Amino acid sequence: MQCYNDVGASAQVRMRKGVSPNPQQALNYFEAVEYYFQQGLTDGLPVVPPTPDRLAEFLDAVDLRPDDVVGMVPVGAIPITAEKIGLNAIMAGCLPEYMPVIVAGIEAMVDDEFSLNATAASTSGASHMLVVGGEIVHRLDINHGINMLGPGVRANATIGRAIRLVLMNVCGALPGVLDKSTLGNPGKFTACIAEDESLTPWPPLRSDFGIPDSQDAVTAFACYAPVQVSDHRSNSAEEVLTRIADAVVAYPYYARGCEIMVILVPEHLNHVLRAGWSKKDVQQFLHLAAQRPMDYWKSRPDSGKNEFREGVGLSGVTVTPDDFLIVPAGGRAGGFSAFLVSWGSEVDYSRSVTRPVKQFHDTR
Amino acid sequence: MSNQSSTGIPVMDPRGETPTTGVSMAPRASGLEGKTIALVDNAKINAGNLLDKLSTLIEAELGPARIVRFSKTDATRPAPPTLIAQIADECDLAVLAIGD
Repeated sequence: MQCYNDVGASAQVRMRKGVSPNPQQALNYFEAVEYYFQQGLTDGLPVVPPTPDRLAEFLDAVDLRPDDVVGMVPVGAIPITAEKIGLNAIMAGCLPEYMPVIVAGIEAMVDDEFSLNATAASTSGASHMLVVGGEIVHRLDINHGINMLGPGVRANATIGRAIRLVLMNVCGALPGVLDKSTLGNPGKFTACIAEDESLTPWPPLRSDFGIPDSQDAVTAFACYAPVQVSDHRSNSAEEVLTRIADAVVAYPYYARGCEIMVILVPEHLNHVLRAGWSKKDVQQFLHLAAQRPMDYWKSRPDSGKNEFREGVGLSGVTVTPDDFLIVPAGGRAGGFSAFLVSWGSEVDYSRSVTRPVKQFHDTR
Repeated sequence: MSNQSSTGIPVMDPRGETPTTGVSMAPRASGLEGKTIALVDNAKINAGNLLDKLSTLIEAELGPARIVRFSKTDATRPAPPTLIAQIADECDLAVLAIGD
């Protein structure tokens, strides 16, 4: 059994030290799959063995050369090259046409606001989620409907997995080495979702970050596991959003100054849209409904640093209504919205970062 | 798949590579007397407490030395190059504390 511990080198690192990626004899397909396991180059699932021809297709999909640097890992100054992204994307099971989304996701994650190293290394175990918006969602068939946080659709599963493999293999975020997650979370295998922009007349997520609606975009969000909020009784916008805000308050890990992504499902959206509420109305309501007296927050043991120690009156964990990121999505049936809490706090912060997905020639 | 068995699948390396620049360790100090020591707080919880204790120990046990305290403002990002340059410019030795 392979496990990681806090003392000494992990099994993965021991293997990496002892083996060079140049096997002496030619490998067949299954031997190659096993070889990547032996090298410690997988997330625990089998990978698709890359080949030079396949890599060329992936680089062609983004018009990049192998040595082109898409971004730098802030600590350690490790270049994330197009070649390394392509290899990990192939291994994750991606198609070449997914590359523009992955490249945009990497560009977002190396932005200083995102705090790549801290989010990848922290004991609190954040996943690195991509939220895709725009016409490309349909072109790549990224799921935003039934089971959109679960398995079943290649684009979601493999784009998110490619991001994780880049984090592990290129950025060095290996469990037990740089990644010190106490527990981790299942979203660290893969986390890629999309907005269903047909559900509301609201501007999409990317427009909240100044990107035109007509432009495809990716939002990178370092967050903890989704919390599902069941509500099959509320009949108004106020009721259903209060239910969500109460769940947000009850969430047992906070630092003031985080972002909270709320995935609003059609059954809950119906109440909000029937009342004629805008997205801003929803954000404002949630921001206020999730406030509690400062003494309440001070009494909680969530964080070693108590960001609530100053001040009086009411406070929430969000500093402004815009800290609620609203994503309409999910299956048509079921009153199960969800929220995800970002890594970090006001001081040691990670903010979501949105980047346009560049247009490249059609690879098909 | 069978024809790949005969020709073989190459193994490609997906790992990141850090450009090496041949950085070596700075020369060790022979003693602390008259030296200026930087105590650098990485801004994590309790790093300051650790450095407070260390400062007391240095003053009590290791002879006269000047201690200067520095702190990052944000635990999650690399120290700014200006802070690193200032420490290098003003101090002979540096101790970094990583608290939590």
